[in-house]
Amino acid sequence: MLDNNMKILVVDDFSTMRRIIKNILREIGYHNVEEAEDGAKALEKLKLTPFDFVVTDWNMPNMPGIELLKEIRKDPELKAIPVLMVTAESQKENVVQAVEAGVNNYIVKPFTATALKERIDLIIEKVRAHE
Amino acid sequence: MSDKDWNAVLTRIRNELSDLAHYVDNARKGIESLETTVKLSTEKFPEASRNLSSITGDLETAANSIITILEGMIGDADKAQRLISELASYNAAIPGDRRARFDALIKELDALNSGGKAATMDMFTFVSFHDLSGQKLKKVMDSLATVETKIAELAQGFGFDEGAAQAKTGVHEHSKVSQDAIDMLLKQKLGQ
Repeated sequence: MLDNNMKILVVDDFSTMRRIIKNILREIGYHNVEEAEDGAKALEKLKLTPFDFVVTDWNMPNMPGIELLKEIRKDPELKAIPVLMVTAESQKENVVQAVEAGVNNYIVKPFTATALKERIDLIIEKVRAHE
Repeated sequence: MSDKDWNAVLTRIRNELSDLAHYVDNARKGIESLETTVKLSTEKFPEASRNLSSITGDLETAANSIITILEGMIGDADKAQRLISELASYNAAIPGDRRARFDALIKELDALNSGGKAATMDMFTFVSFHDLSGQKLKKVMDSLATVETKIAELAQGFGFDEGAAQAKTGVHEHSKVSQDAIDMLLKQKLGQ
């Protein structure tokens, strides 16, 4: 279900970043948002409850975003969930690594509400085209 | 190589190492002086990194307070929006000669409220800088810690050439790219 009612999981170790992303998502029309503070906790939540979309940071303790992404893509139940990487890591090798791991899009912090919306829309458009 | 030449090389390397050590030490002191919670007595980078965590923790607390205020402001703006809409619904009850002025006032109020809300959303973006600052500071500390370790290894083991070269490049260069370049890369890789 990729529409304004989709359930989004925001993963970031900084509580402030989670709140910022949550508020921006709410502002662009996504109200069904939950949070996790690292990749490991996110994976637990994803295995317990169905989510439609994941927005994750890269640098986190326990399990970084790139590992979370790989775990999601490995799991038959989770592998179809679109993942947007939201990170301060703007090195080309990071982007390439994320793409190879199966990221749907990548946005560098800090970002605007418009930039976030554009990337989410792009992902939704592409997923729908493949359905 | 003669003993004389070898001694000259050793002296040069020793001087280079000393310069590097001073550079690292000054960098560390510079970082420490940024915040009083980092004690000047700190001897090692790992310790400074731990102190740095408390700085980023303070930043997070401050940012959380700001976000709470911003969330309140957004809530108020949403409430104001509902009130403006309700006010606008009284349009029909306004006498004809005053209706135009009433509509203009509603529009003006609406524009002010929307502008205020947009500015509040922009503030969210600016607050996120604190997170980036914390992460970048941590990376600087990690890089300096690597340099420090290398210098210590050099000083102890005298494995000069390779070690000194690595120490000089302790902060590794990465090809940082802009969001536009990332979008281009994604377009190539993902066809988006």
